[in-house]
Amino acid sequence: MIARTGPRDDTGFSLIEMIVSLALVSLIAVALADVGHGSIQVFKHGQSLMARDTAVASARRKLSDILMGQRLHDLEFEADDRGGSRVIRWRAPLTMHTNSCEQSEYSLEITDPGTNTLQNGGNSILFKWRCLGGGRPGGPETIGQNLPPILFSLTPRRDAGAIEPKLMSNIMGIWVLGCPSTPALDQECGWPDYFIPVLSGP
Amino acid sequence: MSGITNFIAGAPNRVKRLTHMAWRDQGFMLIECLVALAIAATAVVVVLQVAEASINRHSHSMAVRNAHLEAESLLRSATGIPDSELTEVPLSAGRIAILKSTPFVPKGAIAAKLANDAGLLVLHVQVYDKKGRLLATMQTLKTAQDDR
Repeated sequence: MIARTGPRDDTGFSLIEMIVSLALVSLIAVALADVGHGSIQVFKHGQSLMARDTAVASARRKLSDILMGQRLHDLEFEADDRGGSRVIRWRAPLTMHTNSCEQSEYSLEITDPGTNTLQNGGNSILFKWRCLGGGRPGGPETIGQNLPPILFSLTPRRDAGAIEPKLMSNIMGIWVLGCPSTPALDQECGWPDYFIPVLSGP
Repeated sequence: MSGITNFIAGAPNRVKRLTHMAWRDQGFMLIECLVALAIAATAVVVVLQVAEASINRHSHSMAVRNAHLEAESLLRSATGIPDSELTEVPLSAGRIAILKSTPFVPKGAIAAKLANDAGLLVLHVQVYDKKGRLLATMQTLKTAQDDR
């Protein structure tokens, strides 16, 4: 066997080149992993946004169905210092919800995530009704799930002290305000302020 | 003369042999690896910027859509605003709506006849985001005594 002498004829990387290369490859791998994780997060966020938009659109349509077709009277609205309320109650004559009595009392209540026992997380609206002539209360029917923070208001203004009577002087309507506790929100809260005109009086 | 001919005739074999040796014996140089990595990193950065721009466009389109929904609600709710008076209404996500009404000026004899004594107002609403960018503009006709 002939002994091999002298320098090797292969010219691979030196140790320092290998270390530098591995360090670069590691950095690239970390960056790619970060990008992949970010992409997954963006995808999940997009999915949750789509689900939220669907729930919001459904809830708005349902609220319109409930409120626009009725002639409300004795509307109870417990405004807080911002001019909003989590609960509204009213009375109205016969509707499709209570087809066996002439006068019913209705309520819409916004539940916050802490007190909502019907589903986990997010806001929802509970719709209840009962016949004033007796009988068992109906509902509650849940309107929307995992809704953004919302609040009922009778004016578009959030400040009770800044109510513009000109805006609501001749009409009766209910606003459902989005994200009322964070008026300076930078991003979309998912619920654009929504006005539902209603009929009032007997 | 024959030496030159042989040299030219043997050129393909020599090139093939040299190329084969180069691929077999030499890896990439460090500078080549660095250049390749730099190109890959640039491509990743470009892709990320495109993705970010796409997300920003989506956010803006959501804001525009929500601003139009809110403008529609405001037009449905507002009535009886005096001429030329500006009214600011704070909306969700920090948006601001500006309401203004102007007298309706009919154009044409038929429109003038229809609008005669009706007290029609043109109600304008403009919705701006927090940075003052205009997101939505809408207008509608209202009567001064409109109850809806």
